[in-house]
Amino acid sequence: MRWAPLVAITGASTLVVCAQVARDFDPHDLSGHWNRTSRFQTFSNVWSGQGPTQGTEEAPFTEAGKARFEKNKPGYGPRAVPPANGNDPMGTCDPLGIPRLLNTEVISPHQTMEIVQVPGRMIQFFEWHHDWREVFADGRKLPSADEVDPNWNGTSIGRWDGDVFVVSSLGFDDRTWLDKFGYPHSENMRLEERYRRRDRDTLELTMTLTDPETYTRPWVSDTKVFRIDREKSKRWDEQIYCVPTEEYKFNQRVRDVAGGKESKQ
Amino acid sequence: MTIAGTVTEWEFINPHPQIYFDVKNETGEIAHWAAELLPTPSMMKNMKVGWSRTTVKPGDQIVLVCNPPRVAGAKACLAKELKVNGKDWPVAPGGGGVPGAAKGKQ
Repeated sequence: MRWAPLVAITGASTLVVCAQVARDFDPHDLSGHWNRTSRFQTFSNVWSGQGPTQGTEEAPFTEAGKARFEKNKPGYGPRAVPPANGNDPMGTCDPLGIPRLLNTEVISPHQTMEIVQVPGRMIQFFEWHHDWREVFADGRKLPSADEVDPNWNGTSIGRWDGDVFVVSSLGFDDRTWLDKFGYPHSENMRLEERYRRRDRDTLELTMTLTDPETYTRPWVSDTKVFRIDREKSKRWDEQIYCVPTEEYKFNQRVRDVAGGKESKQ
Repeated sequence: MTIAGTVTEWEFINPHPQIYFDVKNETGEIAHWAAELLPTPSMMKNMKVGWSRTTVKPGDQIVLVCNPPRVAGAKACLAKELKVNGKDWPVAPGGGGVPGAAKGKQ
């Protein structure tokens, strides 16, 4: 419930009263299938590959960060190379990791993110790569960096800050990219995700990345907007795995051929 | 570019459906080509026209409209339009060709 002003105009006077009105959603319930609808498939609002965009922002690279960026050869964006000549981890079915699972491959209507909330945990299921990730929200503290080994999706805890679910993470494997444009990060990256259910059908996510080895200052993402998909649960599970044998064969028979490498057909 | 050929293999798998086909030139020489379509989940879910593992079969006659390969002489391309045995098969949502394919990746 929330309080909202109601305005009634009665003849010569205007009456303003406050009344309780029912909200048709629970802002602390993030569960459901969500399709991302915001445009950018990169961590932040950098050039989209579809043309220059308003608000273009370049990443605040450190020297080392810029050097790592140059080593990453993506198949998309302004630095795109033929996939045969690239090194996108996705091209070999390597795990995409967080935050890439959140901002790259979640595209309506077939690559969705499902959020499931159970006591003490939020679980995110990603259709693309059929991956999932746990966020512990049972009051535990985030371990220190030397207490965790780096892994693909990091180590995450969550808490409510008003109506915003704040996820704090560390311990990321630095082989993943932030997005399909090849933005890098180090093992010391820390990530804060802020989820807010704006209304019954809309979920917003803003991320702040802190990684002094790679970026000179905290880097804030654009606001990712997701729309709920109530039809998804009526359909069968799509099971969109990245299958290494299929990907390898495709690389040999199509990507390498298109890129001018020796034909394996 | 438009290419016509005879299907030798159809792979309806991730990450992209693939058509392999033979193209005969004016002198009768045969070149083997590969074409990819949009990502397989898109094909299955967005185009409700019955794409499946049996949509295309070896021996089918196809006509493809592709972006010219980025590398001269490469015999693989991204299909923008596809005709199988004289019938158009939409390869993108909305029933048409691949939007923005000229800028897309192969």
